[in-house]
Amino acid sequence: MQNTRFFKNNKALTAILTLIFTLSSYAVFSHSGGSHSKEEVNVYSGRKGKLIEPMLKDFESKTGIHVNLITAKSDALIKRIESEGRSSPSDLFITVDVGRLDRAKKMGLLQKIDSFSILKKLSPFYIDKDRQWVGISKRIRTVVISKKMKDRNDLQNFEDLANSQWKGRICVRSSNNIYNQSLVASLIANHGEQKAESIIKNIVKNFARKPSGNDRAQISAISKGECDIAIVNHYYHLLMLNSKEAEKKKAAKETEVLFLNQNNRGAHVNISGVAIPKYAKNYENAKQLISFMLDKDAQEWYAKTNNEYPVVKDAKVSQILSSWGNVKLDEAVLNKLGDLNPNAVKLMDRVNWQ
Amino acid sequence: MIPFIYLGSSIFFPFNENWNHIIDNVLLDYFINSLSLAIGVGFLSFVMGTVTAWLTSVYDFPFRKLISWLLLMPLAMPAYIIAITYVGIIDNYNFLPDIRNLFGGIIMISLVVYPYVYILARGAFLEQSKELYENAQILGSSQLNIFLKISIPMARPAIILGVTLASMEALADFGTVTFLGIPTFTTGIFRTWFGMNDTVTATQMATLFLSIVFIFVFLEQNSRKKIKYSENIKTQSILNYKKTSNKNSFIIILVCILPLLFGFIIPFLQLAYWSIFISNEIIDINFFQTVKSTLFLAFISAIVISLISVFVTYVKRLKPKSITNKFMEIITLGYAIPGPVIAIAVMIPLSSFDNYINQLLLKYFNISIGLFLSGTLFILIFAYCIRFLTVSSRTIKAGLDSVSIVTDEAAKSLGANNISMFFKIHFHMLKTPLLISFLVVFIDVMKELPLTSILRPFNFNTLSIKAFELASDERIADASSSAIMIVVAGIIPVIIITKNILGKRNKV
Repeated sequence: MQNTRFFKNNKALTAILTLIFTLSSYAVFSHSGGSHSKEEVNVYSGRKGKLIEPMLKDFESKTGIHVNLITAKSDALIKRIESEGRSSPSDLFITVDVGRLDRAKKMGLLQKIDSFSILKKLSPFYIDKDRQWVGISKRIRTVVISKKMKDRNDLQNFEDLANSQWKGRICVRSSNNIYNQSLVASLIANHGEQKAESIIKNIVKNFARKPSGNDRAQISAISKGECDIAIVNHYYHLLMLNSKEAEKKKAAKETEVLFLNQNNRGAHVNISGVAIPKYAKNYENAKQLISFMLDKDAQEWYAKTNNEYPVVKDAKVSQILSSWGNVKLDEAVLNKLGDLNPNAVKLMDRVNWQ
Repeated sequence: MIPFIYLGSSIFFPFNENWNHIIDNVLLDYFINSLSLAIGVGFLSFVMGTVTAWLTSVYDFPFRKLISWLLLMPLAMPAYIIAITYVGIIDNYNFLPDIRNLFGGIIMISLVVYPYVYILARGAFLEQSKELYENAQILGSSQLNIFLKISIPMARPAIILGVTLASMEALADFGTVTFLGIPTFTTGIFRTWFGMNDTVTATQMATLFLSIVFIFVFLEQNSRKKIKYSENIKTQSILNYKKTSNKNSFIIILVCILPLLFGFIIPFLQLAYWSIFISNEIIDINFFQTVKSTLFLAFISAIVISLISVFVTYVKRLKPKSITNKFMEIITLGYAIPGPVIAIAVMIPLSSFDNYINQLLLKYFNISIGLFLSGTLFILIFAYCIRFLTVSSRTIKAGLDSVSIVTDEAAKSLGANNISMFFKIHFHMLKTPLLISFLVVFIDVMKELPLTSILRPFNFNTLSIKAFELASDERIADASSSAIMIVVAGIIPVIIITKNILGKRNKV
């Protein structure tokens, strides 16, 4: 009796397990990306899905080329492209930081973007010198200040933040953040490591609190009276200004964006950009997608959806950005930020910017 | 095993000058913060978990059933979401204390991991015998004394398991500590990898970190070996719930509701508010597609991982001394490894294998099948196995240990082989641990982030990716619908499991 019961149980269990196994293995292996049967382009994106998907849909419907998408942190995607090697399905790589593009290039993961129609649309600052990446949009890292601040005229350059006048008045997020790393890298590029270190050391001494939270939290901190100056990307201020949350909107209204270094090298700028991986299987389609992203309409949408600046000259900036007037940008060092990123991280460790 | 060899092999690479930099400037901070976090979270989860488990398994009070399953709900709340939510609340009100520090980090993480201790401790308390309890009462022990001197020590293996899981989760956490500005070993590993672009040093740091965790776990297990646990006497007379006065009921409800309030109700309401009034996210067909893939992935992974755990722990029981078992010990440390580290550790060997096969196929048959392991869901489930086998296999081991070895020997002497013995005896004992393991892995996979985001195939989205993408882009309000769905989808298995655990008691 016992034995037969066990046998039945076992049979039923085996049957269930086999069923689950077959069904799931079909589903598990069928998600394979990058089949070569139809016209398609496989995108690895470090930019958030929400900020590119509508444009990719548009591209699909206009060209009939199917777009497959994976989004993740740029660093992880670089690692993925590297370890996938020759079999990597990735045809296009999108990042939100120039340093990452440069890193992928140095690792030998990219190839030349060989298209005159793409290159002629851009100013040379936004093209890699070996033509392995191009910029798609610009974002400025600068300061947001309290409207009540009386000594605002003493703040003209980023370097001024090192003055003891601003002691206990600066808020900024952690140095783990890539935007802060690029910002410090730009200082190293402009001043050399030693001088940059002494500037940053003094800025850290002026911090109002231990770095934490995101960029918006720094702007909120001004409104709560914890500091007068927040180092942030310009678009976060606009996001808060458009927020439906009363407190966030109020914080944005009590503060304003101030662009630094306007009488010398220009404000620190970073880009989101694209590149074509070395083993791309759909090279032509990838080029077509880049070209599409640099069309006037796509540029205006792409920039507007995150309140950024377009890279193509004839594309219009959003209304609020144009009301801020022309901003002078520190474009000359863009090509160096990737190399200097490790130096920037160690520098920030040394001066104890957490 | 391969991923661990990959990690371990990193120590054979030369140590470069970045190590000097790390040791001189940051290593001590990382170490102290990680240690404080692990101990803090372990302690706080211990207190919250055992007290609530004790109250809900001994006393009778209004809403006991409801509260006892609601207490599991914070498990479905991803830690970084709860942190972002609280900072969002605190930013709006000046009088609230700041949580952007180590102390805040401990509280935030504890609020969502204490259910590990709760669920395991409760299971153990419910099985404790009535005689023991009554004898203690007759001898004049107070309730507090019984709790501290009898119930807790007797449930020690289960409680320690829960506390270990909670601490490990805290050690591996990246999102929460980054957001709250706490530099830990985990953030340090990523800073070295991403910021300094030095994968070798980052992997070496991960190996060092893992060795430290291993030593702690090893010491704990050895200390327990000396104590012999007699088998729980399975009596028919399981404890009846103790009646309480109105005043005491009120106090008990209050105590139980505290972790629930802060770990679930407040953040859930805030998320609901954001989702309804503030969010610009539209819930469309894509959203449901995402819900579907999330549930599918969590379901498959939970089944696969639980089955592997049963197999592994059973083999271990049969052959406790073999070398493979020592390796299994290491594998089940996966829970303490930060997700992205596991991601590279599985990605590199699997894609090399894919590439190798592809080259062979190209050479001899001129076909290419693409990345059939590393480009599909296979790699993701493989990686989940490494990360979550800890939770699952330890839960199942606890269940298996409740059958004494003597029983095995008796069965063997009656002519049963290993397989029939398993289905006749052990399987029945494992039903509850299997369900717990399924539930915990299911919920953990649903809220898992780094592995899913790095290793997923094309066009495959999960709720936690959606939530995190929006939240990390500082659009927490837009992230709220996805976060809520994770919690809501987590409720279903929680109800099924608690029904099962409660059912035991109610039948008597």
